[in-house]
Amino acid sequence: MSGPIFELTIKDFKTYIAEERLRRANYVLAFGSGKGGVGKSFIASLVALALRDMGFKVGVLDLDLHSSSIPLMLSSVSYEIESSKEGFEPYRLENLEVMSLTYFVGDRPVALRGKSKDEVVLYLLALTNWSKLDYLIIDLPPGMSDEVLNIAHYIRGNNRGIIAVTTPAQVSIDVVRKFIEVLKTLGTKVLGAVLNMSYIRVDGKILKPFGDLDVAKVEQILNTKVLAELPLEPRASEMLTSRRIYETELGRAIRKFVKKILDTVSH
Amino acid sequence: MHEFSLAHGVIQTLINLVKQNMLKTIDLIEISVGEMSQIDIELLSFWLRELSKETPIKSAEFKITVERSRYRCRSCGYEWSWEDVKNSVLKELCEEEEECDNPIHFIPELANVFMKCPKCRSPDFEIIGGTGVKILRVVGSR
Repeated sequence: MSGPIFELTIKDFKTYIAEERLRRANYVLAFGSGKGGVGKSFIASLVALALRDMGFKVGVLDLDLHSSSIPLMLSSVSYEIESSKEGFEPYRLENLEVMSLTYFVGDRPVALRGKSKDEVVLYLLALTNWSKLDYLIIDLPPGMSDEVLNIAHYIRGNNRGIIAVTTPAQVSIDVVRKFIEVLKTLGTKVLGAVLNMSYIRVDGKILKPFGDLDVAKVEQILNTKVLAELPLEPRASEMLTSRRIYETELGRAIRKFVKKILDTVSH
Repeated sequence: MHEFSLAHGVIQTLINLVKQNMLKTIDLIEISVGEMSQIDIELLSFWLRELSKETPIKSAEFKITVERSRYRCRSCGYEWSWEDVKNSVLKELCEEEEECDNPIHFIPELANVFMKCPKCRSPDFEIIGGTGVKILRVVGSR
């Protein structure tokens, strides 16, 4: 040895590699809520497919470990994880890449506590072998616990942002308001919010099953812009992966929403 | 192949460390590997040496130790080791083969999904030692 001796203990090497893997995407866009059952995974899937259909190369990272629904929505539930020299290979189909814990555990229940969950998330962030992507969509778990707080640190900085998902129900808006507040204090860029299940059109009449809050009022409560109001579409789940979704009011609203997202991220 | 991607991750991290801390050399790297991860130590060692060639850490010594994996049930307090359950767990995961690429090999913390307490069959147990690959200590000079 020569020169002064230097001894280091370093944090988990996976934290360094996770950052490098996320940089393979030109933009990392997370969907989160703080509240379960608002349709976050559904919207993340719809946005990913719409971006793909517009010609972008898209990845989807499912970090909802306990109630993963992305593989089912994106027709990849039977994929079993494959490993290469570059790491865990995502499911790939037509310019769409998907990574989920489901590919490791199948239909087994996932009962994990904090520290183990943190590690699982870190492995998925650090070892997934994404291609060069235009967008990496991250589906965050519900709540504001360890894994959401940990992931929030990776969604800071340039070319990263989060969209909060809520329904118009007061109870949902209240939880999501707190979620947005926490994210902002962590330095995470909140691009806006989306009001899901905002209305349903029945025989030409608009019904609002979750309440009729004024958008301006919602923006004031959440302290962020509402980027879209999405309708309930009973046929949506069966049409999700087919382009027929764009024949529905929801599909058209999603296209408008995605154009709004593209406009927002380019500024 | 998992050993390659882990070794690659370790080497990339060390190269960044050299740059960030303006080290002249890294002389010793101590690494621990949890036995439940079923990492092939010889293979990991081989890839660490191969991938460090032509890099600022080419002359570093890699010292790898295996950490025993132990568990404690949160339901009944029973404690056991990976050795106690390895055969039955791998039989279920690998069927006819003695070893295979399996979820615990990829992500050791998934043990709770695939294992249960041998005494009370609870999946709620704590892993109290020996999970994945950890860089314990790096000694270098400026």
